[in-house]
Amino acid sequence: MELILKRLHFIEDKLDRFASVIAIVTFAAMSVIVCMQVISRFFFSHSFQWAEEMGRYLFIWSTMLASACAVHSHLNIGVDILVNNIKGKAQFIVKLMAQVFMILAVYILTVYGAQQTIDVYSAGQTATSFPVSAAALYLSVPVSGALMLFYSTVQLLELISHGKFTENEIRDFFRGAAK
Amino acid sequence: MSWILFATFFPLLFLSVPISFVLILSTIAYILVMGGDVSWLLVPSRIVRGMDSFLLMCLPFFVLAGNLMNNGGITERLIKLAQAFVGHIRGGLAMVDVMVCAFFGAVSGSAVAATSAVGSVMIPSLKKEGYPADFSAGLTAVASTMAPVIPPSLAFVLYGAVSRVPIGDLFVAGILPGILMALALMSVVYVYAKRDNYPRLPRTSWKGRLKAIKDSILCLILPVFILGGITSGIFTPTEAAAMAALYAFVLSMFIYKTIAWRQLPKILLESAIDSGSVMLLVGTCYAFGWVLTNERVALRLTEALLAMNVSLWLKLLMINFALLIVGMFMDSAPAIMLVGPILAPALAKMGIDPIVAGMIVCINLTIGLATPPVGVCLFSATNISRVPFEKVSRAALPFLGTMMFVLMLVTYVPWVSLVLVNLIR
Repeated sequence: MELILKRLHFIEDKLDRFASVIAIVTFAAMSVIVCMQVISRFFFSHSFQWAEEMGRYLFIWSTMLASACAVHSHLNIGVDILVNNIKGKAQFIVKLMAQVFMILAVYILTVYGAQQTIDVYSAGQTATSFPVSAAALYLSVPVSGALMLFYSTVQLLELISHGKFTENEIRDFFRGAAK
Repeated sequence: MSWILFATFFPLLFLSVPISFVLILSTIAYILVMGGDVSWLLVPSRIVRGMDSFLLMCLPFFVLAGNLMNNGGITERLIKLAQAFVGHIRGGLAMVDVMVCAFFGAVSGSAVAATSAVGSVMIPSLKKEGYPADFSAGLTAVASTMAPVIPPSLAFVLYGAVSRVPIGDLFVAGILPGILMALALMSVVYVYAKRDNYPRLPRTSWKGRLKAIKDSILCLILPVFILGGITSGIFTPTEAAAMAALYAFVLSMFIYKTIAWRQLPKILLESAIDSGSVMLLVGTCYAFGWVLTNERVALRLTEALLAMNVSLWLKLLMINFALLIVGMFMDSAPAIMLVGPILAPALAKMGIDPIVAGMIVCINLTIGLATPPVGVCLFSATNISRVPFEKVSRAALPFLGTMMFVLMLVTYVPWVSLVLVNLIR
């Protein structure tokens, strides 16, 4: 079990690095595109037709991937009143149940998100201002769903074998490089 | 069919399943029980469509602007500014605490960010000056709920998006209630200071005051810039937010030089995660909204409220009480998105101005961030002060009462919210 968890943590770390990088890049690209659009419209009276739609696509990708990072670091908003006020076995059982329900929700999100992506792709709908299938928008759901499914399953295993979750901080790429 | 909501939504919430996932499961459970030919694909498709809005893109930009300013060390500048003007009054440092929370609210729109940014500096210095630790923590927790009332405000962005009220109007409407909150809190602090003989700081000369203004003016221009841009129609809210982020970026990278390039990825990722977890809620709330519409929850609530044979005055009191209960247990973002679309039509039918309705819902639910048993601002202040949660909660009570007083003013005196809005129209 320990060995399996160790391997899984290794993969989890790689996946989180990947998701964080893409979330940062899409977030930064979205910011640059919208700022550029405003400045260009304001000073040169010229707007890029694709900017708004492209911004929205990047925004949804950044949102979904950052949500996966949030699952990785246990940052999702929830109501913790019960679990914070009980101890020992009862707390363990509540955490276990919550984790199982979460996995169920994420599973639904992944499978039906994938189905939805395929449906949109076969319908042949594209973005209005650039030649990409509208499925690119929906693809963010199963991709992020799959990441969340992996993270939450690893968390379930952590809970079963150690009785608690491993803490994961938000990734800081240059920690250590500082100073 | 409403029983299925009680059988899934509340138990799952209580089990501490994250709210986004509770909403997904409740929607699926509802579709299952209802039978018929509704596809489960409704859930992912509505999640994406709920998030796919250019207007909502102002959320990540306001978060980014706030995070850049915060990492750029604005808190120290704001503290010096507040100290220069109110430090010499009895209980001066506690007043500075309130004022810095208000200033911080004018730069960032998040209450928790205010608690951690202001609290981590102010709570230790208040303790060092001889203020009781629980008083300092309770005051800071409550004062930081001003941040989402004073524009820019993430709460108003969410409310505006779900109930179709112009975000610019909500921002302007929030100014006066925000100032009233600050004044009310400072008056209560003054009463405490007189009674317990709290210390005062040396008076700052006008020269010192001018210097404090000069050092912080570039931070405090930001809200003027945002509000002016939106209300004059030069920018859409999203464009104004993007410009605010750009301004904060230039300010902290090139003028104050407080952020290094290598810190940027972390700030970007934190902003993506902060706004991402709220945006996932926007999407899942939109999916769950289908259930609420299908069950005609808003319509039924409106009918029930209209049929009630009591005065409008009492109805508003009941609504505020119900909102307060919701706020005691739930974070303000999901609460606004769940309650807003249900309550807005009912309040409109009762003859309440949509802007005032927005103020009532948002202010009430953001005060909930500092109410026990569940309040992120209280938790954050507890962590910083290392005082037991119960003591911080008890110390916060008088200040919460003060906020309630302002909430009542906003509820029963529409003028408070509308005077500035009418002025700019």
